[in-house]
This record gives sequence, C-alpha cells and structure tokens, in this order.
Amino acid sequence: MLESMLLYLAAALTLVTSVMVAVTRNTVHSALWMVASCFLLAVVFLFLRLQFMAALQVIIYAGAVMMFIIFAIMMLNLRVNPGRIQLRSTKTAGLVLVLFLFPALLLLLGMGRGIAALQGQVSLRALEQFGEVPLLANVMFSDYLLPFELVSILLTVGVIGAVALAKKRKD
Amino acid sequence: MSELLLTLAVKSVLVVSVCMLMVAYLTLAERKILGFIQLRYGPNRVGYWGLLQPIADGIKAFLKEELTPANADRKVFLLAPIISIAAPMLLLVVIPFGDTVTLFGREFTLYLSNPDIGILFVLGISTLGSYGGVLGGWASGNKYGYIGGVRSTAMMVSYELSMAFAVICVVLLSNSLSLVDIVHSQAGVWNIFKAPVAFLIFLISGLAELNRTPFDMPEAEAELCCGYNVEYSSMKFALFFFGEYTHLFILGCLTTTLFLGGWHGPLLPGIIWFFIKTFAVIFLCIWQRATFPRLRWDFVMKLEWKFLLPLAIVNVLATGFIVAIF
Amino acid sequence: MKESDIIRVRKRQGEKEKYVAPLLKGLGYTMKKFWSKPKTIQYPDQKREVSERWRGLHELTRNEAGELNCVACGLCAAICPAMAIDLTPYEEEGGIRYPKEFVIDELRCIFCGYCEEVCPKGAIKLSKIYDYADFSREAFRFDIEKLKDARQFRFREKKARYQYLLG
Repeated sequence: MLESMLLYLAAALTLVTSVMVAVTRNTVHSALWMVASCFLLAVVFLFLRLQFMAALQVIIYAGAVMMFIIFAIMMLNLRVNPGRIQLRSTKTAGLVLVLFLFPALLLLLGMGRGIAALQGQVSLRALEQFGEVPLLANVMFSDYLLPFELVSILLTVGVIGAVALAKKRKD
Repeated sequence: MSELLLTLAVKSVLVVSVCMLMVAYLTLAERKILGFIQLRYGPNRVGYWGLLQPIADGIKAFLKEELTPANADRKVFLLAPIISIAAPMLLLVVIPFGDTVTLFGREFTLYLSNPDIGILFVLGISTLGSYGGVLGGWASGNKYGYIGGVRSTAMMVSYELSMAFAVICVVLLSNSLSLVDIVHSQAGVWNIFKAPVAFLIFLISGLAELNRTPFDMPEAEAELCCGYNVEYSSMKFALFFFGEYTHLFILGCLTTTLFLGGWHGPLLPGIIWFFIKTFAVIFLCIWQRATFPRLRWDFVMKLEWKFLLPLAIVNVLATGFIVAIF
Repeated sequence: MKESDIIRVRKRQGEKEKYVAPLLKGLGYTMKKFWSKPKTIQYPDQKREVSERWRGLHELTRNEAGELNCVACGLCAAICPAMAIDLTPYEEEGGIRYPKEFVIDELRCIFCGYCEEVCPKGAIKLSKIYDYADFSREAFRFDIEKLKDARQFRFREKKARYQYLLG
C-alpha cells in the first residue's frame, strides 16, 4: 500500500519535472530538471523491482548524458532560451504531438501490446526466479542479439563521424 | 518490523557520526602529513598536537559572513554544496565495514545495506555528486568558477569511463555486483594481486574524480584561484570542503572493498583491518599529493583518452578471457 | 645544495624517456622527508638565535655606579639618517654633561647601527631583541627609562588560563 503510494508519488514527480524541462527558460535549469526527471525515473524502476535498470538509468542518463549536455550548454554559454515568439510556435506543435501520442500510448497499454513488462519475459515471477541481470542478459544476447549489435554499430558510426568532423584538416 | 527499524536507525546514526568524525580528522591528518613531508609541523596550536583544529575550523566556518554574489543564480548556488556533501554521505550506506558481529546474543551486520547492485549504486551516486562542483561553478556567475565547472564536467565524463572499466574487472573476478559478495570472494587472494592494473587505473581515475592533485583541474589554485568554489564562503564553502574529504574517505573504503580484501586479515577483528587498509589508501593519496606537481589541462585529457582508457579496455578483455578460460 | 638534493626532471641529452621510475623516485624522496625532523622554529616558544652583530632595540649603557655613560654630545642624533633620535643635553656646574631627555623613535629607526658606531663613549648599544610589539605609536618612543634594558621587551606569548588547559 505504502509502496504503491510512493510509486505513484515518484511517477507524478517524474511527470512534473519533465514538464518543468519544457517550461523552464533558463537552459541550465532546464537541464537540471531533466537530471531530476531521470533520477526520479530510476526511483520508479526501483519500485518496479528493476534495480539494475535503475542503476543504469542514473549512471548513463542522469550521470553521463546529462553531464555531456551541461558541458555543451556551458561551452556554448547558452544562458536563456530564444524569444517568446519561437516558443509559442513550438508550444502548439508540442501540444498537437502530445494530443496524438498520449492516446496512442493509452491505447497500447489498454490492449496489452508492445509493453514487454506486462506480459513479456521480464515479468515479476521471472525476476524472482532468475534474478534481474541474468534475465536481462539472457533476453538481450539471445532474442534481441541482432538489434543489440545493430545499435552498437550505429553508435560506433556516430563516434567515428564525430571524430571525423572534429578532426583538423591537414591542408 | 519496528525492531528492524530501530537497529537500522541506530546503525545509521552510528555510521554517519563515526565516519563524519573520521572525515573531520582527515582534514587534520592531511595537513599534518603534508606538513611533515614539507619539513613543517602542520597545525599544532589548537589543543595538544593540534587535535582540536578541525573543531576550531568548524566553528570558524559557522561564524564567517555568508556572501552570495549579485549575479549568482541563487537557487542553484544553494543547491550545489548540498549535492556535493549529500552524495558521498549517501555512499556510506553501502560500504561494508565488516562482516557480522554478535552483540547481546544477536547478530548484526556491519553495513547498513547490501543491495544486489552495490557497485553500480556507488558509480551512479558518485556521478551525481560531481554535479555539485559543476553547478557551483556555473551558479557563482564568476568566470573562474565557470571554467572550473566546465573542467569538472569534462573530467567527470572522461575519468568515469576508465573507472567503470576497472570496476568491471573486479566484477568479472568476483562474479557479483554486491559489495559484500565482492569482499567474500576475496577471502583467499585479494583482488589487487589478481588485477594490479585495474587497481592502478581505479586509483588514478578515483583521484581524478575527487579533483585531487595532480588532477585538481576544477580548483586549480594557480590558474583559477580555486575554481568552482571561488565565490563560496562560510558554511557553504565548508560543505564543499567536507564533501571533498568525505569523497576521499569513500575512495579509501571502496579501494579497500574492491581490491584490498575488505575486512579480511589475520589476528585483528575485521573492522579494524578495514580501517587500517582504508587509511593506508588515504595516506597514499595524501603522500602522492605532496609529491607530484599538477598536470597541465591537455595532459590530463591525454592521459585519460590515450593511455588509461585503452589500457582499461585491454585489461577488461584480458581479464574476461582469463576468467572464461579458467 | 648538495648534488644528491637535486631531483632531475628533464632528461639528459640522448637519454631515453622515462615515465614510472621518476614518479617512484619522487615518492621515495617525499617518504624520506616525511620521517625526517621538521626544520620549523616554533616561534613564540622557541626563538631563532641571531648573530652576535644583530642590530635590534637600543640600550643606553651605564657605569658601575648606575649612571649613564652618555655625555650628550649629540653625535648620534647628528648621524642618524632617519632622524630618530631626540636628545636634550644638560650641563652641571663643573662640566659634567648628561642627557636630560633621550628619546629614540623605534618606528623611525632603520637599525643601521651608525649611532652605536659613532658614539665616542660606547654609551649606546643595539641589543639582539627583535620582536617588541605594542598597541600604540607612543609606546615606540623609547625614553631613558625604557632604553635601560631591552631584554624586558622580548616578546612572550601571554596565554589565557584556558589555553594552558588546551596545551
């Protein structure tokens, strides 16, 4: 009872902080709200018995990725968002997107399709039986091996592209 | 249930108060050791052998005037020291100081919690802790603080990698992410003998993450006149300072846990062995601080990306092969 | 500085670049220094022995009867480059001269020692006391009484009672 209440609290706070990311005008504040949002998402994972996922969420998203983003913001010295007019146009676009995406997600949840946690391999029973890390590893390196490798190739391509762009021309 | 809560509460208070006392005296220890290496005495005017110096420093920090620069970002300015002290203190939760002791006919574990993902928890929280320095530098509205903050982010992003790779070696050898299991797996041979390279990489990147000399880029006294904490005064500054020393203490504890066999050792009880090893590591950190000059900024990055990181990756691969074969 | 005290950082010509050995050598050196005795002089408790020729606070010397050797000739006041010496001579009947007033402003004085050198009677001496401290400028205008014995002005730390308790 207490646990589910805390879960809902964490989830609500995640939503609030995510909204704050979009609403805040100061870029660093916005990035900070994003860190808070990532962190709270990790808390939600913890309540769902996904300790490993929570740890990865904090290390990779709240830690490394957001640190990179803050580094970029600070290097480029972006203090405040561009003016209000631009903001209003993105606002309407965002609103339209949300109006389409949110019902779509609700539909998927209601039909019980697409969200693996509801019926798929990572169920609560499987978690208790095998433990989280073996379960995830098993799924990732057997059923989803090809997508996994493709994603890593994509990332490598990205890294190589970044290096190529950053490298000084010889001439 | 309530009994469990009571033991937990008592243990938390004990761990926090004892460790914070140790950290306070760590400041004195550092000044003393640096002093003796430099043929000085270090602080010795307050109390016998300067033993009341940390308390005097604390009182002084409370009595100082608190300043907030006019163009500082007030909320973030306040948040930064809180983060930088809270994160290392949070890490005290998972440090296994000893195995179990029997008191009043009941068994107590000498650690607060043993999550299955212990080591990942440590990595995650210590990453979050480095936001303290970054935000402090940014929020001061001071160019030196700003440069310190930018350097802090770059350091964090780079050295976290090699540190994680060094930790992966230990995880491969011990076959567990839990810190207690890692210590148990070292009952025979300590990990430092199985993975000396990982130990060195861990220690070097740990020092870098701590912003300690020779990697104290974010608070380089000479170039940045103390970097990210340049605008901080009074208790806020003291919190930064304290957070840094708590982090040093945590680094000692972690190195002991991961590489030096934790509480294992002959004759003496486990917890004493743990603290002997921890303070040996801390002494090593202070000793090298007195020895090595600061690296230049680009050398710090070169050391990580061109030397430590490739070495760490090769090391992980080699350890993986050896573990898989035997 | 002895040759053994120099730690070579740069490589000599034709020498191979070394990385780890110099670091360990440095660590060894600091470890050696860690165990050696500190060279600090603990100032208010211990004091540095100054040279015999040290020029500190002034003293006016006296003969066995306790009278000043000074004859108030005024040479010291004349030679003083900082004009720190004020003296008013007084002559008794029968030609015995002595200073009625003799004031040295120790804040003006540059401790060159000319007064000591020029004095025909050896009546003014510079002592070895170098750490007199006081709260007012007036206190540094030393009259005959204060110039009697400089050793009383040696700095001693006045400790409150609680400080004795703390060590």
